[in-house]
Amino acid sequence: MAIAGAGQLNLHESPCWGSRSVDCFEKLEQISEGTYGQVYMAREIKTGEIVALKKIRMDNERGFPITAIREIKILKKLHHENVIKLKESVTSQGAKDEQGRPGKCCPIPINNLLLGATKYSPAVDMWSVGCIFAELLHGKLIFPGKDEPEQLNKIFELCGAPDEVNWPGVSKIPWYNNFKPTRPMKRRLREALGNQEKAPATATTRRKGQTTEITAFTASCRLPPIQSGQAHAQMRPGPNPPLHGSQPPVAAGPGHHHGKPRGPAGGPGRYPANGTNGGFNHQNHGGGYSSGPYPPQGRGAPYGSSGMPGAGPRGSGGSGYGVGAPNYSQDGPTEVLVLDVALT
Amino acid sequence: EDDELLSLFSKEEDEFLTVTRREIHREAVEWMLNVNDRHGFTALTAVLSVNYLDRFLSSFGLQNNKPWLIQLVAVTCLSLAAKVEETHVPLLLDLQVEGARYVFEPKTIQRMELLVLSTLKWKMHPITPLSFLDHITRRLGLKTRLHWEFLKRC
Repeated sequence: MAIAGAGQLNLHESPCWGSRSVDCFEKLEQISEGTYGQVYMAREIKTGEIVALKKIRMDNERGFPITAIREIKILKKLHHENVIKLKESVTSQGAKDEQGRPGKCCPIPINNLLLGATKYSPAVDMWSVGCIFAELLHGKLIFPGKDEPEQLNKIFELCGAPDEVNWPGVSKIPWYNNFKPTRPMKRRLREALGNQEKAPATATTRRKGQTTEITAFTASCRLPPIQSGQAHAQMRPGPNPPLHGSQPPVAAGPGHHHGKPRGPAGGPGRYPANGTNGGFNHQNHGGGYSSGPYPPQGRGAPYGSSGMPGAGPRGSGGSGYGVGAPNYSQDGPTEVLVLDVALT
Repeated sequence: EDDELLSLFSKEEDEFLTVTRREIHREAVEWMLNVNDRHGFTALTAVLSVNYLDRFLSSFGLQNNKPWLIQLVAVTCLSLAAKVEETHVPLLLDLQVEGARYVFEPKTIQRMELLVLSTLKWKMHPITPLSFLDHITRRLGLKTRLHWEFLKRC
């Protein structure tokens, strides 16, 4: 049980580990890779059961990734035949060689919520929700980039390229100049996805709902990060208005304030003029979540690989395991997800 | 007679340790609540972090010869609770404020997070007093904004 930390934390006496070791599983092949880590098909040695093994990358500045915590939280709550079940979380030693690989698209929808963000925020969630809606309507990946630059380009092609007009402050984001498109690109989201309303699967009774989803997608797909007072309000109990119908604010707050606790000095996030902040108590939270330049998120975050200054600590930490469930299970909802966290 | 003396010493030490442990625990919880306030975390985050601390200590125990350990566990539990519940989670270094006696490298806290998660068997959503408060609130039909404001501050 050698997991000493920084030469100081001698846990040899640790009496208990609640988690099994990843060695209980035999990796068969890599299924996919996202910004958060890799996904493997694996077999549990004892039972022969096939599972998906998801390796979670650690973050040096922030510790165990919040995205993984949230993934576990959400998966435990979701019980549906189309959603993978979280079977177990396991830990491992080592695996330093697996960090920092380039991201790639992930074919597992649920993971779309979880792709690593340099700065996790409600805007990231809203982007992901939009992408999932769009993929449900479209029936396939909407941003199928092989790597991050390509994926970013696909986002630009569909959503339009960001500039100072539609996203004030974008040119000041560190990696903007590395990746800004060389030619102007128009937003053609409606053209691309709008005809999905006529898709055969869309029953008349569902029409209205589908349209709303398209709208939601359109809203969240705006490249400017969504300053989501509303989105966050949805996560808390309270008399909040529904999200539908509210326009996403285009907000670029005054940078990210880590280093300071939230407080009134945190700077006014810019909320939409129509004031749909809904019941959310900003005072408690010191002027909003702040909003620095959150990058757009899709499946496979389109940023954060090497060569991007300011892309954050991603990949610099030890690594962990996290694998999503394989989609190819033919026998129904037997997928499982095993989180394997490295203790490097 | 020697046995009796040994027994007396042993009992005295036990009592001393119990009191010391209680004091250490109280200090840790106070510190966690202060940091919770400082960052404007919700009441649920506070409740969760203390829940993690207590569950961890009950299976891991407190080692008296490692005064820094309780601080490490405290900051770790706070970090985990914030990640479970908060939208904005500060950097690990920024959690170590409010007169923290020891400051740990993020990497150390990360390892401790794994130990705590494992020890708690990854069960990060215990039933807390707030769960009952939620239930009662709904049963009483408290729906106005004022009610929610009140509850948020509980």
